[in-house]
Amino acid sequence: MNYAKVNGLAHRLKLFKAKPSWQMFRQNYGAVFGAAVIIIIILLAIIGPWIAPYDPAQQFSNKSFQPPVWNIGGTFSHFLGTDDLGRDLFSRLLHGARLSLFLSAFIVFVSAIVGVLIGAFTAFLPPILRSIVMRIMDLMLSLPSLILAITVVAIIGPGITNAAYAVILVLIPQFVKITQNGISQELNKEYSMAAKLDGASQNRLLFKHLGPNIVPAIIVQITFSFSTALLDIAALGFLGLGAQPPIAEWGTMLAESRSYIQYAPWTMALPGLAIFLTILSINLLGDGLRDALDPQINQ
Amino acid sequence: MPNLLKAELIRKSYKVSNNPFKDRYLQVLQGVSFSINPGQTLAVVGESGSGKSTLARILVGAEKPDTGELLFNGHNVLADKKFAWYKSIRMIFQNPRSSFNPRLTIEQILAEPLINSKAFNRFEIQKKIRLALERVGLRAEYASRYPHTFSGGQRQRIAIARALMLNPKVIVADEPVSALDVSVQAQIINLLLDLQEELDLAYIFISHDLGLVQHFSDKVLVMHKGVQEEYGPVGEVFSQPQSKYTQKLLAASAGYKRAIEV
Repeated sequence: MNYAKVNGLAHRLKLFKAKPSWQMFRQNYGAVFGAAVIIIIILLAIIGPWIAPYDPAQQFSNKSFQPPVWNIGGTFSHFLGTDDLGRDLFSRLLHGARLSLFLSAFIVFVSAIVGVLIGAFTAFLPPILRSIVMRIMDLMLSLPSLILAITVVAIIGPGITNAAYAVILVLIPQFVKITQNGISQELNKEYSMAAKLDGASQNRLLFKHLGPNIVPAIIVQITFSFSTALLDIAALGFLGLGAQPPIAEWGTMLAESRSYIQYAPWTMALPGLAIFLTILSINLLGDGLRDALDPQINQ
Repeated sequence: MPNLLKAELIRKSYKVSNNPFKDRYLQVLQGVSFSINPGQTLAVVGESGSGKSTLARILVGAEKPDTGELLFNGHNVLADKKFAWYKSIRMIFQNPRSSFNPRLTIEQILAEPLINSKAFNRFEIQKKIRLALERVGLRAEYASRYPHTFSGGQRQRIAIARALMLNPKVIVADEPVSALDVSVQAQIINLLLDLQEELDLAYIFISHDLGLVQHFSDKVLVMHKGVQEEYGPVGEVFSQPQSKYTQKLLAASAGYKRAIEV
């Protein structure tokens, strides 16, 4: 019986099975808080259209600038208040969560796949070509991500889709660098040589031996990239380069209510708070994951 | 009857200059030759930078020499692209902390050569791992634990078990005990000696410790800056060193002097 063939699939599935220590994770209160908030926000985003009391674009012209329910003059029919055009803020925030989260997830998914593939490929290039690719990545990283994204959007034109392309491009270099560095470093370690001397093929070395040592770093990078993506999309929206009104998007909502901050502070505070809470939770979660995924720390 | 392993005039150099117009090479090995038979131990001694570890890597197939022949049972394995080094000539690394993948269990680590040989099913592999652990003096239950949960001596035992998984004929040990406590060193050396007797293994033992070499080996190869200074039976080389360098090396070793006085 051929062990390698019979168990090929089972083996392949086991390759990337990260083994986080839940005990370690549970003791990290920040990470648990982050995970809890993220789960709530994701659930709200998923069921948003069903629990939103109004259509996000529906305007109640006689009810503009209605304050939230806890302020004087607030009502339960618009319990987070309304904006300058009388649109229900709670409904807009829910739809914004949906847009921001799904868009960020898509952006990170694409840039992680592209970045990891480029990085893995680069790691096996001859040194000269490898340094050329890596210097191009350094060049992209040396520019602040938002400036680079703005440049890209300026070239291909504003809009939510183009903003997404720009952020995807901006996030790729980090993944390339992490993957390439990870593979190069792990290849130089003695256990890689030991695996080669155990007769492991190139593919087996990469997926079975190096992979599990690199994947945790990529998972952590995914969480940080996710928050960058969310923030950059919001920032592009705020600058008028991303989502265009009347789309309910957190950054665009911030921009629209900018002029009313003294008169109706909740119109700006609520989307800002949504962005802040989401990004804080993702970063806390990322920190917790980084510690929990390392078998040497978590014993 | 050919020797089990015979090296002939192995040379190796590394490119040390990045200037594409002017190649500079560092001669690491300048013609090393030796032979070894089953049950024998060849010690390779020399100061740091003398090319001992490069020789070890060439002997296990991790690197290719520039010129020279390596005959395994009379068969030139350097010319044979399909030679399965991992079934015949195995290595024990110096540092038991870095030579194991931190994310694999001992079972997965020991299974690696067996899986790559494609000759065993899952149950045979598990049984062989159990036997291998017991053979090096560890409990079979340890198989499910991770490398960092073991002490240095235990890890070196696991390294020996890994080297022996496919019943190789030659073991190349690159300073296998220099990273261990003195009390543990003796245990590992005794384990290696027992295994040699039991399995008729040939050892190529790279070491700094001349006292240990004298006690442990049959032949000795003295290296200095990539040059083979002296090669012969351990008694001859130690009692009547021919080369200046060997004499200096022996004089510098306190352990050796003590051994002579006793």
